[in-house]
Amino acid sequence: MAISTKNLYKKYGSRFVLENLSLNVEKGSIYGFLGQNGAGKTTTIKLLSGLSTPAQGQIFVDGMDLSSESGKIKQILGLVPQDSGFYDERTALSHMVYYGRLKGLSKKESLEQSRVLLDQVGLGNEMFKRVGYFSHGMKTRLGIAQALLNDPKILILDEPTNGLDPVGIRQIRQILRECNNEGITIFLSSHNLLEIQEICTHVGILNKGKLIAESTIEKIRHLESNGVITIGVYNLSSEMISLIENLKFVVKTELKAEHILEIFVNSRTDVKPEINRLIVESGGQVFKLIENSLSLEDAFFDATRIKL
Amino acid sequence: MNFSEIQIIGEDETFKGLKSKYVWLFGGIFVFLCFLAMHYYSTYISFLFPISKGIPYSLISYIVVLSIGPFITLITSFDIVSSEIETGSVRYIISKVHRSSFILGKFFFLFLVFISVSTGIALISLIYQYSEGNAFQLKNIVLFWIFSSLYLGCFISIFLFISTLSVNNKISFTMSMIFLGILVFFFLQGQDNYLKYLTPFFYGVKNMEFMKDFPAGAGYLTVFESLFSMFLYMLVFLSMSLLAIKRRDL
Amino acid sequence: MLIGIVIGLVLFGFFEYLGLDQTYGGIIGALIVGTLIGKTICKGSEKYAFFSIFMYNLIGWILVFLLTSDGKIALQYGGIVLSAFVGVLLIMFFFYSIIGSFVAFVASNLSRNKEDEGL
Repeated sequence: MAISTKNLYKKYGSRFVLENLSLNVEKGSIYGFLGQNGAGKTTTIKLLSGLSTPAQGQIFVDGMDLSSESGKIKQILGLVPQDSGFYDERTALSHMVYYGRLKGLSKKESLEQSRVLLDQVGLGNEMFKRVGYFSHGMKTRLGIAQALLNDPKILILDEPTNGLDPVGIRQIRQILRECNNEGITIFLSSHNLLEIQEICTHVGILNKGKLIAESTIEKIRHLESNGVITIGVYNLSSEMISLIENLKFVVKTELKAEHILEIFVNSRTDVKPEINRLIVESGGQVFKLIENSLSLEDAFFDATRIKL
Repeated sequence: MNFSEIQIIGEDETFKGLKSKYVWLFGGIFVFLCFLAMHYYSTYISFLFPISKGIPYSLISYIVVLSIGPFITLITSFDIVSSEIETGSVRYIISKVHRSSFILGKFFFLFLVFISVSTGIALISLIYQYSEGNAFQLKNIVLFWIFSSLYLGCFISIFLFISTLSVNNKISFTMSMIFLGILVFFFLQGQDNYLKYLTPFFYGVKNMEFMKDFPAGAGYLTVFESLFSMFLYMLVFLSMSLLAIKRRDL
Repeated sequence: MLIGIVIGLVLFGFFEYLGLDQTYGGIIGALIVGTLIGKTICKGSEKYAFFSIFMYNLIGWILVFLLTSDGKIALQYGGIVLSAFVGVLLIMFFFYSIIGSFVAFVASNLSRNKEDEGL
């Protein structure tokens, strides 16, 4: 495992912000860490990167215990924190050279790598510009560039696409894909479900400090149900709804309108004929029967039980 | 603790940081103030030091260091860590190096600046002594250099500690001023009070006696005792800064 | 804050009973109350420490003036002497409160699991 945590707890004062967090990030994966505001995503990232210490529990990065080998771990880890804290009066190149030296590179190596990385993230022409004049997107790219110094094995990003326009988001996604293709394990937190769906191979869902789901993207989608059948019945009655809910493959139903019912199902086979037959036998008149697969968004809201 | 990390952080602070420019500027102002005190001694302040052995330039500049030094170190040191915490730039550094290296790098930057300031003042005293035709009081100059460096080092470590505890510059400045006031309060409690031992002022004023009249023979021990006390004082606050940064969530 | 005042009063009484020097007693009391308040309250501990220490010193000295024989003698002086003495006391209370406030600041920021503010 690239990253694993065992029974992690973190509290502020008497309040637990993380409870019994045990997550596993496979090497070479892109792990998306999902959760609402205040779920504990940033706290988790701070713990993983050594910016914070847990109240209880263990953190292993590339097989090394963070509590005893933090120095070695910091050399293989690249962190892109949520809010950029660069020095406005310094140039991008100056930042990179400084951070490169902190990572153990010599001045010459740091300079060479900095130029290459700044080119890679699209800041090649801006390297002598003061960071105070950078846009939000440029600062994010600089953040990624500094995290890539000295070839890290693991990249941790805290909401990297926050506040970016669609073009910026696409650029960041491209950079992350390229990094992953080079073998770097990526751990990123995000609110953007579509983005997680687009880029991540694995997902963990955090709710109120607890990890409630963790799996591959495909399995998460099928967490509770793997499909939604929308059925339109002219004379839909509560008895018909009860009969449908009693079917073994039905997870739940939601009445969308007077005659429209959404049925969440979990089945490998086509269940529409069975539902149709049940309604007809109950005296119903079906005028619509459509099947949709669940998006990650549906699975996320399902898992966190957020009512809108 | 990693010496190369400390060196990199200290070096970067000394030569590249925006802060380094105004720290050096205030250091320069400090040297200039000492120069003014020495230059205008005979005109305006000679009544304070009626000494027949010649103008005590090193003593004059030492008194300037004793009185103004704490304020100059406050202005230059109060935001050394709190500004990085406030802007979040500390995260980019702490994610790469040991926390102790960060603090020690900052400390050595400030200490280096103020050792240079003491050196500058010492050289000016030397030049004035030579130009007045006085005998070279090299011992006094060396003592001045060591005592003033350690005295300023004590205040640097105090303000570094307060800066490490603070989440922003406003709190850091306020608490630094408060602590300075507390130290003055302790020092003014009178001769029989033990509180004065908790202040660098006590050690600084005690050292003035050695500069007026260097003790012979066994008196060297009292000088080393004084030096050791100041060094210990600095070490205590530096250790507390290291403890504070280790416990902090960043 | 109330607990701080109560603990402070207990310490005040204890130091009075021991006959400890006023300055040392005031400072030690400020250190203890400041530390306790700093460790228990994370946010705004400095304010609470300041007011607690000021209040318990004020209450303590009022009790000394009213209940002890030395205090009653001091009250008999009246006029300028008493005003000056009270003035000096208030200044000392202010300094003790400042010391306690600073100690609370240190104690609260040195404790683990303090939530980030403004980061």
